[in-house]
Amino acid sequence: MTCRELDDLLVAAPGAPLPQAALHHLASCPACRALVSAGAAPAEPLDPQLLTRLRKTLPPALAPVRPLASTSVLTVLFFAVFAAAAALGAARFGAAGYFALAPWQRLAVFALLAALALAASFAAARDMRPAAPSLSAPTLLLAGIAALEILFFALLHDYNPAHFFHAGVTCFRYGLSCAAPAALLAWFIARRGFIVGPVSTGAAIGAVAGLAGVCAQELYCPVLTIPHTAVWHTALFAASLASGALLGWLSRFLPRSASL
Amino acid sequence: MSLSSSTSASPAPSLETLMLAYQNGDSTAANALIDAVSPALYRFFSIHSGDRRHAADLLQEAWIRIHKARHTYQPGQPLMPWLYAIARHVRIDAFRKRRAERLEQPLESIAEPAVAPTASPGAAPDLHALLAQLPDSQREVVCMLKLSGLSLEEVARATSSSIGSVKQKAHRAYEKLRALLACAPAGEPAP
Repeated sequence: MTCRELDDLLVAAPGAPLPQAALHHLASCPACRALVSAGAAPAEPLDPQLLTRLRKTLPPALAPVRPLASTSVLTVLFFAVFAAAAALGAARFGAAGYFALAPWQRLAVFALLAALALAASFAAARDMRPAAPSLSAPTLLLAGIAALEILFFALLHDYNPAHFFHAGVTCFRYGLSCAAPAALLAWFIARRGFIVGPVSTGAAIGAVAGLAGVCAQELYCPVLTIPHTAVWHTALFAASLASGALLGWLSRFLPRSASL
Repeated sequence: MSLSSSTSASPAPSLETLMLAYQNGDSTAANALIDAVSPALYRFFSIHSGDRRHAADLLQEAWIRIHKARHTYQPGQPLMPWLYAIARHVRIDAFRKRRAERLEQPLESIAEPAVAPTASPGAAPDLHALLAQLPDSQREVVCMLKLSGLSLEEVARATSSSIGSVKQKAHRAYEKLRALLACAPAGEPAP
């Protein structure tokens, strides 16, 4: 057995009894022997005064708390925010874009948006709990942008750049007016948890809100050209996610209450 | 008492059971939990801060946040990764705060860092001093894996990273520790 193989054992099963081959290696390798024995002792008992101080940190009469809802319930809540914001956008601005699409295009566009929103909702729900594995902000961003761009290039074939800026800015503004309240609502839900990764949580909330905005754009916007959708519709998602991540990063500098 | 729920075989209530009772407002369970996990958390903080008083302050801050976050513990899940995720959050916050305070201080008023005690010939190598030479991310992985006995998956959850990334950090840390131990003045470590 080599030192590297011993490392594999120590990493894979910390604290487990070592096999005979590892013990043979330890007998002939002082460095590995030192590595295995270092820190093998259990943590020393704490100073009783410190323990008393810690116990006094908690209030003497504890109130029962209602555990946070399960991840699936929270995912449904975030998804409901996405759906409600998109539906309200359509109610306010109309659904000309929906009717401009062929039935198979509708299916592809809204199925993809729903799948992305579900993934972002799941990520936001996971982030409300410490030690729950979550998707990183760059992964969400890249996956979302790639999926939207592939979709637009696969479905649409018109490359006419007419009214690119005027129509684009208007469409972006409409989408943003749906994304902003969605972000606010999602943030209210996320506050119920305990967030240890504010950047990834901000990004996930931004992604849910951004996708609500993109969904509202797809419902409202009748411009079915690749330059318009590939830039302005995708930009809303990217901008929302990036803004959420940035706000999460800035929140780390806010003062925290040191009392219960 | 073993800190890992998977390895505890004693009839004493598991950490997860104590946590559930704590969620239900049982003060005795909360105190028992403080007694059971504080030594490991204190070691985690002292390895990173290198200052006993600061580690004690961080531990108290951790318990304040654990109390605030106790509703987010999901019954049925292992407790230690959840606790370490909060402890890590406290440590990172404190590190940022200290760094900001140092940046605001004039250079002359910044105290010199404490000099690590030199090992006397024949003494066992000081693990704290060795770990201090590792980068932060590797140190916390070694602390959780080797000292607290968390599994790879639990460390990945506590540090919000992938199992592959934890493995890589642990391998690099072990290689560096081995090199440090090989040239430690102590020669033969204590068994």
